[in-house]
Amino acid sequence: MTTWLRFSAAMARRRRVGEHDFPLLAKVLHWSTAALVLTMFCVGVLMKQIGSGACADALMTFHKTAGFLLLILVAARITYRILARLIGRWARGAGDRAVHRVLYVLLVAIPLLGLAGVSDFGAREIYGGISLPEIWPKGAGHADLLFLGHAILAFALVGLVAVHICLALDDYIQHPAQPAAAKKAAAAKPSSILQPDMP
Amino acid sequence: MLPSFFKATVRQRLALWASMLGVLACVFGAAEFIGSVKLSGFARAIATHAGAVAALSETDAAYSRIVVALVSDGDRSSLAGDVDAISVAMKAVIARSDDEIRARAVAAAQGLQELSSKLGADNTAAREALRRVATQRNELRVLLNAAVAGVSESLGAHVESSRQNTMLLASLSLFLAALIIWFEHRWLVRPISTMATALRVPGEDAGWVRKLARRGDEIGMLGRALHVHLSEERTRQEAAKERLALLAGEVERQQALRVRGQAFQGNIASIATALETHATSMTDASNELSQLSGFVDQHAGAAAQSSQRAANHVDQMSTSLNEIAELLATTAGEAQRTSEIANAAKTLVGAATDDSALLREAVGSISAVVTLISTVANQTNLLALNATIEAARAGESGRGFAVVAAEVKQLANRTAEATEQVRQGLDSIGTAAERITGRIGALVASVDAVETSADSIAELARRQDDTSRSINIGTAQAADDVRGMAEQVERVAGMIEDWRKMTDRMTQASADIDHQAAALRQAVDSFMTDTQAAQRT
Repeated sequence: MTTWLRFSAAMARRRRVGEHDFPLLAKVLHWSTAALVLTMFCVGVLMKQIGSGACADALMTFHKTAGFLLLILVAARITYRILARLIGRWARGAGDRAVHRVLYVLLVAIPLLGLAGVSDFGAREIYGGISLPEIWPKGAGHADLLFLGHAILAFALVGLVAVHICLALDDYIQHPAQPAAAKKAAAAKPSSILQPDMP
Repeated sequence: MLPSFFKATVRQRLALWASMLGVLACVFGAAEFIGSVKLSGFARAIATHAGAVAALSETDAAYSRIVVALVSDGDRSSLAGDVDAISVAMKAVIARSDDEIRARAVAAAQGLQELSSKLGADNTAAREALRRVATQRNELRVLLNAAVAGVSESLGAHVESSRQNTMLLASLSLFLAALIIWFEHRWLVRPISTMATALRVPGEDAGWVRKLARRGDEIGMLGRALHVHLSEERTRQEAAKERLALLAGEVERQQALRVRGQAFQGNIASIATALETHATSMTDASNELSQLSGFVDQHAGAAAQSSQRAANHVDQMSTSLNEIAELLATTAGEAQRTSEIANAAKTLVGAATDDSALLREAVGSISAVVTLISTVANQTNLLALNATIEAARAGESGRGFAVVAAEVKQLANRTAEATEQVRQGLDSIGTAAERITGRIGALVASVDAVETSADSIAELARRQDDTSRSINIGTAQAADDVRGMAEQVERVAGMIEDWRKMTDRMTQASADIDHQAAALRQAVDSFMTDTQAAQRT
């Protein structure tokens, strides 16, 4: 069993090493999610700090709209990933760590907590006159608690994003991708030293 | 997912960490700026409301005088000044406040103007105006207090929210800093220490260095340079080791050759020395042999004469031995006769033994007869006693019988005494017979000893006779040998003459060997000197 796990981990690492080139759509979805998360984190902190007023309301509206978009984006990513894996365009093991799973869970849970909070608070309107669906009883009195959980999980998400960045860099540094010429050279002479491009 | 320009070099990583921490710092700074702005707003609002409340409170005395004057129908002449003072305070509240408080303050100011106009009218109108002013004044106070409470509540919520933000941002910053430090230690510090170890101890952590050399950042450049350096160093070390091994082999071979040459030289020198020594010894020995051969030749004749004399002496000794053999034969004959005499004596002693046995038997028979006689005597004595008793019983008639019985008793007593004497004589005879038997036994032992000695003497005489005969034969052979020896000595004398001639030839040969050994030593020495000189060059 242990041998099989080591073998599968080595194979996954080899696949990751050889497959740093993700599909363009996956890259767009990934970096869009990253930008949205960063923006919403900053807006959320400032919004909370401002507290009330027109500026806070505007930021709140933007935050709700962006959060709703993020929820849709994450759902699209998960769907795309499942479909891509089913059709074989997504290698098993590429970004398959436990960190990613927790990230996906948080990316779904945090917007839902925020939506529950605004449902309880009674401010579900976003840009374009759209009203978000009510997933929590209005005036239930748990808005503060829901917002506090939303904020704490958001900070945990940012910390996890930092861990995700570090792990990705670690993977990139410890197991650099081999160019095609280097792969041939390595196949011809396994002990030769690879010479990756340097800035 | 990483962009193509991003190679995770140290510079790019530092830029990434700086941007991440910068974003956090900007958010933190913006939050703090917003918090400070809000705090100043809260402070202003509190100051405004507190100033309005204070202005109203300052007019409480004037307001009280107006109320007392109007309610108790007092002097109204000084009320105009009090109303003006309250109006000034109200205008100050209007100037500081906004929204609802301002509207309420404006209404209160209008009420004061109405009260001022009706101070000269009747009491009812003035009191009605005062009532309205009092109502508006109280509402304004309530509004001001509510505003202060609202500001305080907002301030508390802001402080709590700001505290949460600060704590979360600080925690996130600390976590991020720890993460960066841990990973940078993994990516930067540990490889550098590994490379330092590889530099310090070449050959150790070589696998790590190869792994580091595959990286694309500055550590990878350093690892590749270090790998190349270590490879070159290893190559140089191996080449140096090979050269060292070759030199060591060459030195060892030269050393072995030198040792073998020295051993060869030593062997040759020792051989030459031995040859010279042996040649000298042979010369000396030849001379000595030459001298000895003359001496031996001289004594060989004397030895031959001595041998002849020894042969004569041996013949004489043989004659003496024959005479000894005859004497020994006579001794053996005498011993044989002694033995025969002893045998005869033993036969006589045996007869005496038989006689003594017969004597003991006769003594025993006599003793039995004597015992019988003694028994008869005793019975006779008893019969005599009975006869005496019977005679006494018979009285006078038995007196003669008593005399006879007394005589018989005396006879019986004498018989008993005689038998006792005979018994004593028989005991003496028996004792003498026992002594005779013992002495005969001793005599038999002596005769046996004499016979044994005679036999031993005869045996010794025979052996001596045999020995003397053997000596006689050996002496004859010795005489023959002595004569043969004399002949051999004469032949040896002839051989010694030949030997002396041969020693002369050996002396010449040893001199020649001496010359040859000296020449060999000189040749080897010159060869070794030339060889060592060639090796040094």
